[in-house]
Amino acid sequence: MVAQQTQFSHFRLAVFILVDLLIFAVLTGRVYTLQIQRFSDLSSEAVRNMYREYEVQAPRGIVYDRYHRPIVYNTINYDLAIYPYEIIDREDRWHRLSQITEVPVSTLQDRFRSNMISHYQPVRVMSSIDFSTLSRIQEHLIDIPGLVLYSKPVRHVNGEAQAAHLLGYTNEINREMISQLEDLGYRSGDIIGIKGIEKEYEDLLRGQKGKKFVRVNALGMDFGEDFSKSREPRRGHDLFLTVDWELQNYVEKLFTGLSGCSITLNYHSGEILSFVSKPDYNTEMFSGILSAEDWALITSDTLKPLFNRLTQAQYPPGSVFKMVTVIAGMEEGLIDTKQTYHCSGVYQLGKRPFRCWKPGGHGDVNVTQAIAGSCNIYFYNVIQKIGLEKWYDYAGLFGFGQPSGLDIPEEKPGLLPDREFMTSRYGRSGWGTGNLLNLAIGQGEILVTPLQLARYINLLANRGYAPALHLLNAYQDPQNLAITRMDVETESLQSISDASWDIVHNGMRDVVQSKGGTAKSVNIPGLNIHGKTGTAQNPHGEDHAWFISFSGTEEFPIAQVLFVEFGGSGSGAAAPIARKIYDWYSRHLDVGRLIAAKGGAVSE
Amino acid sequence: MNKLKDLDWFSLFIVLILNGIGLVAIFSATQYIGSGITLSSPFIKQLLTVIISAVFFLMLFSVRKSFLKKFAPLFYILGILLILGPFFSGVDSTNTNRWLDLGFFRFQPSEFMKFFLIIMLARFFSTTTIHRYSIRYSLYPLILTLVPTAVVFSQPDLGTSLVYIAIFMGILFASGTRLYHIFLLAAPVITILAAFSITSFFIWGIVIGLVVLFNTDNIMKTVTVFISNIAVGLITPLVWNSLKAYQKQRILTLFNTNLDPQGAGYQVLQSQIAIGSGGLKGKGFMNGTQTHLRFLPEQHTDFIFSVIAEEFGFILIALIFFLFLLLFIKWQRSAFSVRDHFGSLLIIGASTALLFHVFINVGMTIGIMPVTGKPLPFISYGGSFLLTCYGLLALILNGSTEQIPQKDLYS
Repeated sequence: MVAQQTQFSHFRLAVFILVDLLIFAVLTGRVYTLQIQRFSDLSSEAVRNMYREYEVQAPRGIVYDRYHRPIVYNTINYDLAIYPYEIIDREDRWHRLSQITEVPVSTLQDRFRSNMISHYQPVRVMSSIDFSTLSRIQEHLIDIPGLVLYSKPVRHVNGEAQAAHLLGYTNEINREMISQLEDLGYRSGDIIGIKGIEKEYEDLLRGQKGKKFVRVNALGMDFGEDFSKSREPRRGHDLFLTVDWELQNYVEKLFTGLSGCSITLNYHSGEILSFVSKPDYNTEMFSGILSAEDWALITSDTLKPLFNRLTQAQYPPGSVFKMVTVIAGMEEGLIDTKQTYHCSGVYQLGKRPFRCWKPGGHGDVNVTQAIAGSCNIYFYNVIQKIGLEKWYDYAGLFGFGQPSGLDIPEEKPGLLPDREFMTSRYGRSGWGTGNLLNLAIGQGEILVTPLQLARYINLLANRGYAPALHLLNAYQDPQNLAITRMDVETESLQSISDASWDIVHNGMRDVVQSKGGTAKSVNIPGLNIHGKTGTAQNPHGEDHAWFISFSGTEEFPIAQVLFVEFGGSGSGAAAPIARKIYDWYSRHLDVGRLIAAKGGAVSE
Repeated sequence: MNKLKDLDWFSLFIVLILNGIGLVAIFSATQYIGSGITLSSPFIKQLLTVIISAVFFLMLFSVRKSFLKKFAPLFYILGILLILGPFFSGVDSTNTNRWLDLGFFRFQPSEFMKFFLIIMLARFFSTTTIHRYSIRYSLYPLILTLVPTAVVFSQPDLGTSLVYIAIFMGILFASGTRLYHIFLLAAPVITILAAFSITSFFIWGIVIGLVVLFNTDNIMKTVTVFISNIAVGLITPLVWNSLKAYQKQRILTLFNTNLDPQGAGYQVLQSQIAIGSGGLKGKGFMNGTQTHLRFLPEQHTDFIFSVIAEEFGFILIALIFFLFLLLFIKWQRSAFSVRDHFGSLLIIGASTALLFHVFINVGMTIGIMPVTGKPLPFISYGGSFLLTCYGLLALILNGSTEQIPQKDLYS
């Protein structure tokens, strides 16, 4: 039977067995590595596989006004989504869905196709559903299997006032911001404050995202949430602003049809009571995706509703700046309170005439009268003694040329020109006394923002020792309800003497309360209003009007800055609005409450 | 039926243990949420296949070896016709046309070709009069092997074609072919692979030169072998570069499915996570998260090993390896001690096929072998394959009847 001998050697058998042993040694070694040596890391891989982690957005904090009236709160918007495997190839369900939502089948299917990721992940087909559609959908939710309503928190501004430039808005974070803020836990789809308070206090408002763990399989099918691992989101801190929402609403109404801005403040506490820049926009329009038409409408508006005039408009301050010149002169001993200068309506500097606003002239004016009547000629004389350097130094003391530091983003610094600036702009010999004369009355190169003037009036009203302006009184932790009050810094110009303040206050009082004053219309009995009008020359049209003022009454520590674009003159356009605000506020203000609320939130 | 007294009950018993482990794992792997046990559930189908396999096993075990030997060429030709069958009437399953539908049973002819090849090769070596030092002693069976291999490879089924080669190499080696001839057969394949890098090609060239130089007396033969190999190596890059991009891609993914990370690479990764997270003792029956959350692909067929490793841990894996090793060594020893040369070659061919399957299947699940989609013998789900395994077992146990008495062995 055996065809050939000796072909089955023991050597060959040994090779076979060796191969067996080798193969199983390799397999065992590798399995040992996986199961014993890499057990812990592969186990955690397996656990990671089992759970899909979702972030749960935290509701943002609520923004209240000074009296705990809600200004901004969260409401819910609903999106409609559907599980693809329930509706794909089911024309009957598409038609039913279309009936319920009153959206054409083709539109729904287009959105569905462009948003679909997998068969087991819901696809959004409608967003921000209006109330009547929402109730229809909820009624018919069981007609079509696989429908899901997603709720999405949106910011809602309470009442009629918009306060867009104060509050700002929120929106979904964009890619550029994510790349900068990733370390802070921002992810695609998160909501972030874009402007105003929403941006300034983003850290307080945003809260802490929660986590949800859902057991899933490799196909993405959901096996329900594992609550033991979930972490609830924490709502952001609630803010208590300094503003009085009723006052805000009133002032906004006064600006109907006007463009300009206004700040009302309590100079005893540094609290800003109203913060109005008009025209503005509906902040809710900006939360979410703005339609192309809306965007075109808002950007083509020549009145620039997106422009926050309070922080970004930079104009010459005009005559409201004269108090700086007075203080510089007084402090340097260059103004004698009794000395008068004659105003004939024009001042001749060499061959160049420099005019007073009053064509016939003021006659002989002393320093107080010069402020009250806003006589330019007086300042033309005085500034030549003071010089640019000293003038610059004193203007700098009041914070001109730098942002005021109010707790609101994107503030412009204005422009306070010094010798270096003038030389760099005009050359060494390209400028001279003429420029100086203009600067003395707040015209020419100098630019200020309304907010800087608010700081200025705050310092003036307080005679140089003032609580810094601020918008936030306190914030509250929603978990333990602990309230943190904001520290208010103090600004101090102690080097300036009482004599200077007296002169300035007398002048400002006479602006309102004397016969020759430029703002007599604001003279409200009992409120002891002090003020100063101003005109920002506008080469492109009607001049802009300024009016800064304060009440000298202890019980009514209110100051205002008013700016009316194309208003003509401060006395004509701005002062009457200021009067209305004082009138209204003195009648509506419960002084006791205002004082009680000073420096912090009222605990109720 | 008196042959049953010669049956190696021990081997059969161990195989049944492995099969039992497989059934448990299949049961676990196919219990999804909401699915009950029905006649169509894989566990029941596998159980029924075991019964059919038992019948098949008994048939193939009882048949006389001389019968198999006598009709080997007929079986072989029948097998070739069968594997060509899917080219004409095949049903499409996972985009390869290797299934043949018999109505009640979908059937892979390439599986049964394994038997016919083993029988045919065993017949050749046990009857040939060609001297084993002749090159023809290796060449004829090589041609017998390459015909079905080429057909299956073009289907394309790399795994099965490799099984055919493994069977051939096992039988060839056992039959005492000169090692030099085995080298000559393997050289062109290695040349093609080596030709993709200049360094490896250079080193390989030196190796060929040295081996050929020391093994032939005839200088002409030496030069011919050397030059033809170098020529193959030089042509390879040219042929490769003339292929279109998709053709290259197809060949590359055939050998290394990791090139398709969302597909096979992902599967192997998930498989390794399943195995590794099983640890020493496993997560317990029906507790494998990778299995039950379906991260594990093809879990009751190709990746059944990962299911077992995840749920029962290293202890059971070590036991399975031990049992397989025990079987292979036992079978190979019996192959070398059986009186009947044809029978011993049946054992070698069938056990090599099974060993190769174990290696490439387990190797795939643990990430050391490419994903070829070969199941694990006696353990994986699959009717046609389980039937094959029991058939191979029948060949082995049939072949090992009529042992040489111990005293004759060393005479």
